[in-house]
Amino acid sequence: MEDIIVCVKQVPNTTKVKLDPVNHTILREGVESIINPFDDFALEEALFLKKKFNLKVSALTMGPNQALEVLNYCLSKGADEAYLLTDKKLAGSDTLATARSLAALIKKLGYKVIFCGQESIDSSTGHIGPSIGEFLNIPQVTHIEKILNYENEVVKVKEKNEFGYNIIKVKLPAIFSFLKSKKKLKRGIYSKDTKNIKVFSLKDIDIDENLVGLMGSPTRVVKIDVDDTIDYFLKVDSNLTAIERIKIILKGGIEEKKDRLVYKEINNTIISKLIQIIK
Amino acid sequence: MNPIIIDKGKCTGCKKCLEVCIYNALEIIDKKAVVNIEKCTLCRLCMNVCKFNAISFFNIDQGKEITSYKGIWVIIEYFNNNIKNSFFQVISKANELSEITKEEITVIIIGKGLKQISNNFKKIFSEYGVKNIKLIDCINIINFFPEDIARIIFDEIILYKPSIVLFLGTNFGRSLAPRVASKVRTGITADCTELKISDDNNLIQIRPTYGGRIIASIICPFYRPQMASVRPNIFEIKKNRISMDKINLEYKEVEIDSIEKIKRVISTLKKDSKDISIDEADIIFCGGLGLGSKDGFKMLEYLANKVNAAVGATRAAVDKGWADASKLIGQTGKIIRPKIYFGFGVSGAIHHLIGMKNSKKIIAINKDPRAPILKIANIAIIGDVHDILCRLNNEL
Amino acid sequence: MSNYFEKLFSEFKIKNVLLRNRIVFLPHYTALATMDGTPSEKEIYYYTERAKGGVGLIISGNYAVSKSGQMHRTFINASDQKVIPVFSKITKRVHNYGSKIFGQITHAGPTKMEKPQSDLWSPSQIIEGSSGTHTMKIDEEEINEVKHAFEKSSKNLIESGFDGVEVKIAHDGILRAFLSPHYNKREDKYGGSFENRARLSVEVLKLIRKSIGFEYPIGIRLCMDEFEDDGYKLEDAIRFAKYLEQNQLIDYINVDAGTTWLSYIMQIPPMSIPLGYSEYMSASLKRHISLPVIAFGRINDPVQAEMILQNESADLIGMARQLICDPETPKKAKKGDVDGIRKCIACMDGCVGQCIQFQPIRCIQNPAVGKEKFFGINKLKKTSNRKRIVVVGGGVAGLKFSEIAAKRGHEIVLYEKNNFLGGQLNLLKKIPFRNEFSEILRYLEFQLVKYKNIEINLGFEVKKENILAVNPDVIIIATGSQRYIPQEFQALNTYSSIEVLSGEWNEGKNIIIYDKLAKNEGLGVAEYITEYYDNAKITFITPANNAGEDINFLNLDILYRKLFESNFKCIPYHEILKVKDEKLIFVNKYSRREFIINKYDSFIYIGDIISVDNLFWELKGNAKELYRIGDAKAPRLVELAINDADNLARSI
Repeated sequence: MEDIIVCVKQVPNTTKVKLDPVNHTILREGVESIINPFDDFALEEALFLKKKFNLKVSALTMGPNQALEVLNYCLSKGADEAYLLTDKKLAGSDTLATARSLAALIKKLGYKVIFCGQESIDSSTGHIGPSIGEFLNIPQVTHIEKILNYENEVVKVKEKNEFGYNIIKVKLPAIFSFLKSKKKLKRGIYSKDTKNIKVFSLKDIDIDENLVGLMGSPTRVVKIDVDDTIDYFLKVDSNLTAIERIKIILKGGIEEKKDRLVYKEINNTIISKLIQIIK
Repeated sequence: MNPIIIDKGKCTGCKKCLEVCIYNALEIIDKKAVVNIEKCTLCRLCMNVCKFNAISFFNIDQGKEITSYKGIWVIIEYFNNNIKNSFFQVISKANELSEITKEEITVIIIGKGLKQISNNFKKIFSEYGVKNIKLIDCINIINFFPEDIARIIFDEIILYKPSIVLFLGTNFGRSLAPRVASKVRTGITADCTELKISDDNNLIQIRPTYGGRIIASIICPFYRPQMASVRPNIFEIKKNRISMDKINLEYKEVEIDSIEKIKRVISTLKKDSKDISIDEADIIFCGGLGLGSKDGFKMLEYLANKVNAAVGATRAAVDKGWADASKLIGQTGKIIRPKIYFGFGVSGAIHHLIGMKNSKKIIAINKDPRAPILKIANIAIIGDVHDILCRLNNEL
Repeated sequence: MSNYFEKLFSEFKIKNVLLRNRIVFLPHYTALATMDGTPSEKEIYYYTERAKGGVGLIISGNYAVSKSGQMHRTFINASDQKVIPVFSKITKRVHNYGSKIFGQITHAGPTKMEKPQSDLWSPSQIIEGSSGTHTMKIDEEEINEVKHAFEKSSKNLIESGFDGVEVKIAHDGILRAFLSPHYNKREDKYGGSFENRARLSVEVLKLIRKSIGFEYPIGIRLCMDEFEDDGYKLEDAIRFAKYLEQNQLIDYINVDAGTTWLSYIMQIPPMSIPLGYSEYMSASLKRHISLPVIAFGRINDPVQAEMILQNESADLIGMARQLICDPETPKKAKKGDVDGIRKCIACMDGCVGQCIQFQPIRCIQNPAVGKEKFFGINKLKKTSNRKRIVVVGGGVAGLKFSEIAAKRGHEIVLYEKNNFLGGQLNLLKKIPFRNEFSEILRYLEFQLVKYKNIEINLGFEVKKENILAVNPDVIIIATGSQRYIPQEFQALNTYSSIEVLSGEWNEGKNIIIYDKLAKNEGLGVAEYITEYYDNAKITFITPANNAGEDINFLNLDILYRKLFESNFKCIPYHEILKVKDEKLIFVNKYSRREFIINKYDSFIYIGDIISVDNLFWELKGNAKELYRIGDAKAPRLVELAINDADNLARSI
């Protein structure tokens, strides 16, 4: 039975990932792999609880062998155990298959409290937390800013939503997804050490191989493309003539609105219209 | 096991399949196409382009017959006695998809105390081409939790077998959708910014990844329903009026063996408006030199607070010390894309215009008819800023 | 203090050269060399100053590779051995202050600035647009000469201690001319197809690589869009860049745009071009290559720079004029003092305006430019004799004087008759193509707030008695100037530019502008009217040979583009004779033939300006030290007001 299991993911440092314009595949050469920052925050919260309540913190990840680097990172920050679930047959898992596999291992280890990051910076689905929750049939709380209290098998958390915050109390076992907070994170150390890592493969968890990996993933990526609608304010169409291109630049890419409504004085109808718009 | 079969008798080695395969899983050996299982993801693009029908898939029997799933569902939250505007964006998109698949749209409305207002729903949704409305009235619910709602939706899905289920990507929607998908054991794509129907009637789910710089197109070819959560404020709302008598309304009461015993909301804190950053706000009130003084700015902030709008400022106002530099909107401050931008006494220097021109709706108030911002506003009001602020204050 | 601009101050490596931050001082001609093209001591101080200010990489340049490649004889010839001693000093000093330095080499090709233009080396014979001169189609021997000139110059650069070499395939130069379908109509192996047109650049790069070895980075300044209809566009430039990358010929790309014919304004953008307008060019490039990319184009603010880096639109931020205006921009940005950065307003008058006339580079806001040895960073000496100085007038001159004198430790009492500072800057900034002059005011006001030894009195039109009552040691008269319309030209609806810009005029539709001076003010007022008065019809009459003849040609380009889109007509060669019975009588200055305008709505007279200096004459003999600066001395430009103020303040 584990005290706190923190699910972490190794991700490429997304700001450096490029798309091969010819083959339309993701180019990862030279891009460093890091721990998903959201998972790092989850880990910090776990370590905070460890200090306060003398709990054991175990880091868990699913991935190729290289993923043990992030487990070592967690250990260097103070995690007590590190578990790597790795198997060729797990490759190509979408969120359903991943959650299923993780849940199977977590079930085997025994669980009470499960932490994970709200989303990962590469796929940003935010699905893993709720999906694991469903597979283990335990309650979830997502978008968590911080843990407020932990005692007697009940955890109190601050959940962020569009309007403000909810303070929620949950009876364990449960799974918690954390947002990135404004706190500065302590830095850990990545290493390729294998000695403190406990490795599990597909045969160690109770699961049908048709339900994991590519075979167990309902969704498929069929195309990847570069986003052409990036934020810089000016985009100049090369098909225009030179003079037109310069004109657009001179205007800062700003066009007058042809169908605008102009009111030359203020009256009650305008006020009510504005209020309607605000609501 | 190898689910892809290439019939060597039919294959001509034309290499069309190689060209479309983005995973480099096909190669020509002895003039015939051969698949590399390690790399193949079963996306079936090759099967679609082969003119000679040489490629086929070993049918993976899921115990489900995909073609028996029909209908496009949109899950609607009715938690605070209102339906957020963004849900209609999803329904509008659903209408587009429905044009192609020819399947009907059903909205599943989850709420409490729905009986009394069921007729209103017919009226509302008649504007959006929705032929079926299912009201699910959680009569004894205290808080809406994804764990409970997922169960309800799961039951409906098992009974009625929709082909597509769409969720809005609110915080709730984003934690509900995966729970439902995992329960149903089907695929789900988060945060879609575009949805299309492929030639073989699959839902193409398009979404940003890797920090938004790379766009992925995803399909769920062998499982049903196909589920997706949709990012708010991407799709336009488009009306599609149908007659109210064409709408089927079903009302259902549900008593849930709620998770309230295990999970409870103890208190709710409203967000301090000062916390609203202009990066994320839907409504921004921006003040410029026309406000006249720091007091004028304070009035703007007071009003903004009332309606949960964020406050922004022009360079001139920041330089005068009326607002903090973090509120600066412009090329050397922040570039914003709110739903609504109000410019109070903002004249519109180009640096500022560049910063806010992507706002969906621009309303500018300035007493100078020649202020540049009036030319790019959707609504331009030539008048006294203080007058308007006072009057808005009185009404709100 | 945490790092304000995380990406901007992160290190970066171009090949083996480690840069301490992402800020690059872009290459430009400084005209600081002697008349025969020998680099001078001024250059050493010029570049050292930017290194002192904290820049990561300096690319010094526009060095010609041979005599035939000099745009003008004041351009330094890098193939001449005599440059090595001075260059070595530059690199050594720059390295001492922690910056790295590359040298940019080019061959002028068809762009020469000596008049009459001669020997315009070009791929084909055409009429070169900006000079109206026929070019010379070079033969194989001359092509080889160009290639070997590049090779030799690059060797000299490395020998002088430069960390890398940049080859110019940018808005001017022979290499871009060969690449451009507009210039290159050859039918041999150097013309025609894409590969052929690229051939010369490729051969040059290969030779340089062979000559300097593999450890030094070689980059190019590449024009991304010629903005000419039969020239090449963004896609073509990207194709060229990819081609070079695939063949491993370069280590980075420094982005640029425009050509010296119809699109000057794209290469050195004036004020009217939005900040960071070319971000999309470097961003598009970055999507197709993995080499480092340097962005350019009116990036004058660290917030903007950081955003460009965060958007992944570039790896490095190139600033030329910004660092000319405020060499300490990197230092100030790093410690978060963003408001204290003096921003370049792209007025074009100080830097480009001077160099175009082969005069040493200046900056209207930074009097130290070109004279860094005496006026540079840390050269301001505190005073040993603290004086009480009364400054009358809170315009540009008064403010600048107060800034410098207060920095030196003097006590300043400033009187300004309006309730706001800035004087004529407040009207000047209303003119669209001068709108960023408000930045000058912002910077000076910000400086003044810092000092406790400045007392500012607004809304006080001070008199002789008031001043003497304060018992000042020094009195500075900086009361500016005013417009004056001679009696004989005053009609019922005659207005000065001040009245127009203040909105105190009855505009009407039919507007006559008489511009006596042919400088910024005339066309500036015309532009203002065009911008804000939609129905105005302007007849612009001037004794000059064309409208705004004396305006810097880059600004003139912008003005003409704008004015000719609207209802604007110019009648040159005409002086105003008199105004009689509301009729405006003009006369052709050559033929003396009269031209009368009977009907009009407003008549704007732009010409006479007189100094407001009565206090100066009143106080003569009554003060220990009395000086006048700025327009109060004589109506001139902002630059001279700032120079007056700065010089005086340093010497008091």
